[in-house]
Amino acid sequence: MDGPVLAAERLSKRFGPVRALDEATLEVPEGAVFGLLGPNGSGKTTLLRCALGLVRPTAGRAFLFGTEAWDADPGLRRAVGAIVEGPGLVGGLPAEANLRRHAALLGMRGAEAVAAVSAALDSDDLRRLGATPARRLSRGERQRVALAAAFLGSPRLLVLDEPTEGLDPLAIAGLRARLEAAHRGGATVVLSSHLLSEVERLATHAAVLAGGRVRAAGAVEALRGATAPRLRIRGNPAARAAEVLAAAGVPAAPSGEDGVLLAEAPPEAAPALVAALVRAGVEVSEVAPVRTGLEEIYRAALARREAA
Amino acid sequence: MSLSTPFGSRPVLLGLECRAMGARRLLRAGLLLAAAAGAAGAAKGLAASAGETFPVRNGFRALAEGLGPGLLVAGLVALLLGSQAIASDASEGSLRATLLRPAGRGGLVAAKAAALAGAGVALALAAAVGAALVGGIGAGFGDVVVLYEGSPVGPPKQTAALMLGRAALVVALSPLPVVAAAELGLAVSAFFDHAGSAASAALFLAVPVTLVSWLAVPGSDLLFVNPPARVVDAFRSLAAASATADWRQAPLAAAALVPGTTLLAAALAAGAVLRRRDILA
Repeated sequence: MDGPVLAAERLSKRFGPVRALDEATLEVPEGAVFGLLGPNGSGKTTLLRCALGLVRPTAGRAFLFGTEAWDADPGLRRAVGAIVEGPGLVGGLPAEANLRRHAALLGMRGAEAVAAVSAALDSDDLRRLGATPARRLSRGERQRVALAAAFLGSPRLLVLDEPTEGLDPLAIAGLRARLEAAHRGGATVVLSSHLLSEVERLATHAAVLAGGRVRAAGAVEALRGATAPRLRIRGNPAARAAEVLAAAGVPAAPSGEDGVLLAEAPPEAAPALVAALVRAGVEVSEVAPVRTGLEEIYRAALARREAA
Repeated sequence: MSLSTPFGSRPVLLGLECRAMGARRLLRAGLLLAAAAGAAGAAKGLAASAGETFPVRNGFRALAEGLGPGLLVAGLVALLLGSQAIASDASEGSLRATLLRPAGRGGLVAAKAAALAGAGVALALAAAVGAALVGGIGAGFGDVVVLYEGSPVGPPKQTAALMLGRAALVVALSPLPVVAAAELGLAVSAFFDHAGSAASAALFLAVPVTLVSWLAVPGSDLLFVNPPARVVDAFRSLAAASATADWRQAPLAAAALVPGTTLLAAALAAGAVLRRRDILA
């Protein structure tokens, strides 16, 4: 298809006095792995709900496959696998019956449904859950069943809201591998998560939401380029190092690691800064450029919000 | 992958909803309760007629007496089942998960309404079976005779064949108020995300209406033309009429039209509410 798989256009949603989304605009290109980032209450889940037709926008529009999501033909969602805010399993049914239910809703019948459910049970090691009703499974087990359901039918679009919630490290690694495979197969993935490291491994595009607004959005490489370069400087004493950098007009902040400062300066400025530090009697043991990651992009976007 | 039916996902949803309804413990318990209430009502009717010096003695009367309490219990269970239909799915998140699939909101409500209708029919039949068993065992389903101090007086007033036809009509129509109660519960359920809140709201709405009807407050017939109380009332008259000689007094039209209109209006209201509301839970 031409155009974005999922999009928001000046999308606003109010819940009574609470403004969950405030003219949010973004586009998820086809084939992207799109990381949706933001603090709690930033509007990520509401945006996904609007884009999937669960919630009617107060203003603006949300599009799914180019069609306005609220009025979209339900058949469009045949190409979507989604988890939004929790597994959403039928509590009284075991894992296999829940998967059969999803297969039926996808229009699978007979041998096709049996094969798809069987493959999901095997690939996700869910057979051992047996006949235990979903409500008696652990949080992580329910999440794994829900993820298996989301992947049923090899959807073109995967929308996963906090998919790693409750998962153990091996299950997280397994999910990462499945998402990579789905991406290689041409699927578009929207990943809303607080685990920046996980999103960073996969994301080709990202958006940062805060206060219901999109603070930064685009290809991850472009976002990296738009973030101020920083140097990691380990100096002793650190307090003196901070004074020297401040005197040189370079903002620096503690990294959280003992004796390490993060200075807002490009790599080319490193020799001059080191010379100044040494002249001032600071013992410099490490200077390295900081590779701008999603965390830095995230922090910078939130800082812009604070400044605004 | 393509839709395999000309009706979209509706047959699939209907199948899923019927299976889910069949698995509900409340339905299983309700079937037993409705049958028990029907049987108890019939037994009470038999006992009352035994003490009379001039009774109409027959299993048909016991069946009619039993249908009243049986349908009341069946209606209450149906109301609770209906109130859980959407709200309990919402509270466990499966409503959201279902609507993230190619399932339309209207189709989902239609499937739930149909599954509830099936449950309502089963509950009403359970009440009728309970009442009929006790009536049949206690007094038999022979010709209706008038007894005086235990002895027949005059010729039979109604033949068994005629009464059987009437009883069949009563039993056939009796699911209507129960289904209406279930659909009213569904309409209430469409507003809620929590099963407990929905059940409370359904009971809160139904109990005062029923009480007012029972207390026969003047004008209540006019004020409460639609709620389940009116439906139960209409059926009580219908059932009573089958046991006595004058069938023509039975409010047949009201018995069919009132619950029929109620269930259709309630199901449509449920659809209208769910189509417009946000799915947040």
